[in-house]
Amino acid sequence: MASVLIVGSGASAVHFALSVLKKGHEVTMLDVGHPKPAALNPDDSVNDLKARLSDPVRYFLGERYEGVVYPGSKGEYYGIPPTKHYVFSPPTAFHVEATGFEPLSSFGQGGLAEAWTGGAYPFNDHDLAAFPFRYRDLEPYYGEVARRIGITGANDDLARFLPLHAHLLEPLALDPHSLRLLADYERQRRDLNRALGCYLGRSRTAALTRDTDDRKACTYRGRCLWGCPLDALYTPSLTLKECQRYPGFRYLPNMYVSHFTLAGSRRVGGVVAEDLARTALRELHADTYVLAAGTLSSSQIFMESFLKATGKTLTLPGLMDNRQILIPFVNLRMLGQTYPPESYQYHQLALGIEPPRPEEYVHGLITTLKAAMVHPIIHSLPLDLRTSLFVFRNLRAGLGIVNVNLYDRQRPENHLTLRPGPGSGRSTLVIHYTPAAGERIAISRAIRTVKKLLRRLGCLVPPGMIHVRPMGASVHYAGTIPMSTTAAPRTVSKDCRSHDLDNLYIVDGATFPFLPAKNITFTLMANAVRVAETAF
Amino acid sequence: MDDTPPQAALDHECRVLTSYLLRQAPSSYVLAKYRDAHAADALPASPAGPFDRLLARLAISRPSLLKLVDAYASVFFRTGLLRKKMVLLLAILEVSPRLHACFDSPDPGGTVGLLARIAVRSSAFLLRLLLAVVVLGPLQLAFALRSTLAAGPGRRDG
Repeated sequence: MASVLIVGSGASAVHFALSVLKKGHEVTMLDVGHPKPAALNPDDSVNDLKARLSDPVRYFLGERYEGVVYPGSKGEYYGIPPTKHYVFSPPTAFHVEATGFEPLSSFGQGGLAEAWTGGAYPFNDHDLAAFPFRYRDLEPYYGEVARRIGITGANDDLARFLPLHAHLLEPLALDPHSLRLLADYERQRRDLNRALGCYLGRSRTAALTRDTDDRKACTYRGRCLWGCPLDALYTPSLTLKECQRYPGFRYLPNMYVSHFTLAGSRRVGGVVAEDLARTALRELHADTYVLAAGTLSSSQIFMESFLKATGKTLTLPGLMDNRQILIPFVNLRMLGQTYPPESYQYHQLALGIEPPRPEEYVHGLITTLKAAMVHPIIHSLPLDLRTSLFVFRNLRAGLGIVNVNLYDRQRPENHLTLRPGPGSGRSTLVIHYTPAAGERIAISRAIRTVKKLLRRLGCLVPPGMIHVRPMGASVHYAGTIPMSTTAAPRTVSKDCRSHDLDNLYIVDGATFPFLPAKNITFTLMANAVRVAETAF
Repeated sequence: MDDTPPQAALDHECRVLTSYLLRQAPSSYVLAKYRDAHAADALPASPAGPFDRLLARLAISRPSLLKLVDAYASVFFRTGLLRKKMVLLLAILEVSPRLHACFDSPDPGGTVGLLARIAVRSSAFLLRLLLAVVVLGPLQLAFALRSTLAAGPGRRDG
């Protein structure tokens, strides 16, 4: 059996690892791997925590109050809670420079999806048109991942955009506001479908609605945002734990990978990593190497390897990310009602907008406001703070936000490169991104359609509060070392084997040749399992 | 030089602002966290101009003026010192024992009544804003003029 060395512990890495472990291979996983802190009082609800913790401010806002979102904070309506800061904390040697892009990288155990909102949306044949395989090739692996992690969903109007795969669990219980929105949609369904091309349905969510051997079903304690204390909401660190039960698995945290050494012109000879605990460099060896550190980090390691071996600085074109637009709304029909803090906190409904061309599908996540931190919303209202608080309190049960996602395609001007560091030190990752020429029109069209939909559902969009998030904010990065049927340099095969280095596989978003308007994490996992099953 | 206000001044500030925002007194826990946040330099470090500082001082030292200053700041100093302090306090209050409930429940009354009250409160805000522009607007202009004159005729920014 082959020895496989995997870089990274995110969604792609752990599912790839689990599949090859099941086949009997030896796996070593290198990871910076900041660990997740233990959950406090797992049975408490979010309001129980406020009442019972000895220092709730420290829990919710952080030791240095870093959870406070002040006026002028780039128009965001929520910040990353302090309990998730471990996900994003970078090693000191990590340097990045970006224009037109605000990148986020993870060095936590489980990667970026430790802080995700659980959206698990399969790609259909339109989404996969640029990939070297079809939906039917990926479908068994969507089913396998759904079996492993638990995905809730329903066969509803969204099935026209979201294929139905095996092992879907029954949906989560809807909060009253989401229930109202869905009922209002269903009353006008035909008209909304025909006039606006809008379809509404239940979110596909990586959360459990029934107990499994290892995990409990969601108990609606309202703590999703700060990290589910019962692990009902899936995060990749759970699969990492599963991998650790295999005798052939070796997990090496505190290892910050720099580059591969090359053995000849077409093979990886070893991987060089900085042991952060000992501040020393180590070189490790295996038969096969797998990059699964996320698009940015995998691309950086790939380029650094060629830089170290040849002295040449590569440029990787084709970087993609979903543009996201936040459209807050007020449902006047919910005015004066009490909000339910004990409910599932993330999006419970999703919407799809039928596009003129299938690949231009627009996807939206509808999150009704429940137990999130509310001071950013209060101070964003165009009133004095006391009046804002009064208005907020009375509208709270009817507040929500639509997070609209737009597709992206590979364009050569959006690229990654390196600026070599001093001496033999680590290089700086340099990112350039320029939006597509027609993006403004696409944004306006999406906003117009969603506003019309919301109006029909009895909701108002407060003027001046729509926020077009910067590129990079969705953290759905892809496209820099894409799958290609021709063996071009800086691409990978259908099985994600590098066309440059024969014993290197790349199994994360870097290999996606197109980015539909859907959260990519589910497809990352399914694709990683596909590669493990077909190529190993 | 240490710009951190002394403990008693911070406690006074916290009491004035909590009472203004929630019509309740802060708990000893909230007072302690408000002090702690200032000690931890939790407020974003952006230089407050002299008029910005004056607004904050005015609001704290004369609570009767706080409504007026808050209305003015909501339009002309949205990222100013006073709003930053109030947002910090709101963040502390919304997760503090007992007081977090002030963010949770709607006022009693039917939909029509609530809509009417929202309309009345919003109109009152507009009136306060108008008054604030009349009272504080000229003061701000005077401050701007004074700083321009102090900078001298030959100086240019940047």
